[in-house]
Amino acid sequence: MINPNDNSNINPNPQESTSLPVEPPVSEPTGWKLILSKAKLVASIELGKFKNSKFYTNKKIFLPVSISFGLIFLILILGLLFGKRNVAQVALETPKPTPTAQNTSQATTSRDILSESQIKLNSLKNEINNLDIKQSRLQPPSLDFDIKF
Amino acid sequence: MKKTAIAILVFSILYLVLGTSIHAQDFDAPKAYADYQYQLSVYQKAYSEFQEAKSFYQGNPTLQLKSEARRKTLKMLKERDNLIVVYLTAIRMHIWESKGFDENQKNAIYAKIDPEIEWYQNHIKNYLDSDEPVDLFNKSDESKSRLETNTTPIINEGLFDISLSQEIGIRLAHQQIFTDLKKYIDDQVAVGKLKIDPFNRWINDTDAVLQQLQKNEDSAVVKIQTLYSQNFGVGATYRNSVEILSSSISPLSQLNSYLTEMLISIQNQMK
Repeated sequence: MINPNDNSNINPNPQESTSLPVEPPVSEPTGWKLILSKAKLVASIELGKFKNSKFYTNKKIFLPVSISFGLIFLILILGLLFGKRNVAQVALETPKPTPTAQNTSQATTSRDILSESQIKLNSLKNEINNLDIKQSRLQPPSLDFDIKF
Repeated sequence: MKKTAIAILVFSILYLVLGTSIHAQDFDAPKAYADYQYQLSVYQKAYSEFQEAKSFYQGNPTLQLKSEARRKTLKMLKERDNLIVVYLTAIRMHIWESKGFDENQKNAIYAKIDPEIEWYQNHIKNYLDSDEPVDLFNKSDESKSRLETNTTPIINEGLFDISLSQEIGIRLAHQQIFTDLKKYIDDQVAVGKLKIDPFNRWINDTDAVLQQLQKNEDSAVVKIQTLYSQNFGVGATYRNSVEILSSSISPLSQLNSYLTEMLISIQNQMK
């Protein structure tokens, strides 16, 4: 049994005791460590404020908004990574044979005229066959002017 | 709230994905025709509702049914005027896109169509929500009178002009090919690669077809102008003018055949 009035085991002068460990002196952080510790402190305070805010506590608002922003950022990042880029086409200089004068220009032009005429005539034939002189699609609408009652 | 956020997200994604591929749609003849078809359906619906309301009122002439019939009449009359505006615009766009007319010819018909469009646009504004049935009937008669006296001849000329311009365009395109082939034949005859016979005779035959086509165009133009000098028979004048144009289809086909034959003959001789 411990007697509450028994003070025999209590050291009246604790400073005289040699059994207690002596704590080493705490050194003040300096430089980037100081900045880091301050940042941690500020972050923990702000996080605490945020967690207590109405926006965070109301999950019906917080979840959809955060998911929406997350997806938009994801799309933007994917777009930047895989989107089409206007890559300039660089034409590589390839060695070409020295051009030689050939007396075929007249024949080439003539062939072009004949083949072009053939294509045009075929197209015109289709136009003639599809001509709708009466403009049946564009005939005036039937309107009733006998409206009196 | 959650549904709203999801809807916003979906629309944002659609906007991002589709936004770049959406381009302004140009107004052209097919679009003008589609507008006409749409407005025609709008008018037909309004007309059907008007007829229904009119029948109800005539079967049971109460004040409420009269008021309903008046409301439906007002709506139908506005849509009817608007239909004429959209229809005239469609004709204008078809003339604008036709290839045969030059700017002067196009401006000549625009000078007739545009005042008509303006008249109906202004007339729509004359219909007032407070108009009594008798006011509506009178204003409807104004549209009827305008359509019969002014608009119908212009519509007929517009339709005729679309066909005429198409025919002229086809004839001119053939004429250009004919000119190119004639020059080619002359060049090749000069260097001894082609013989002038039978091309000299074929050229004369082709010239004759071209002259016939131009003669048809001229006589059709003279005929259509009588629309405005006659007080009756607008429809008959239009039909006669169109018949003259129709008679050009056979020569156009013949022209095409002649030039194709000439071309094949040149190719065969050049082998």
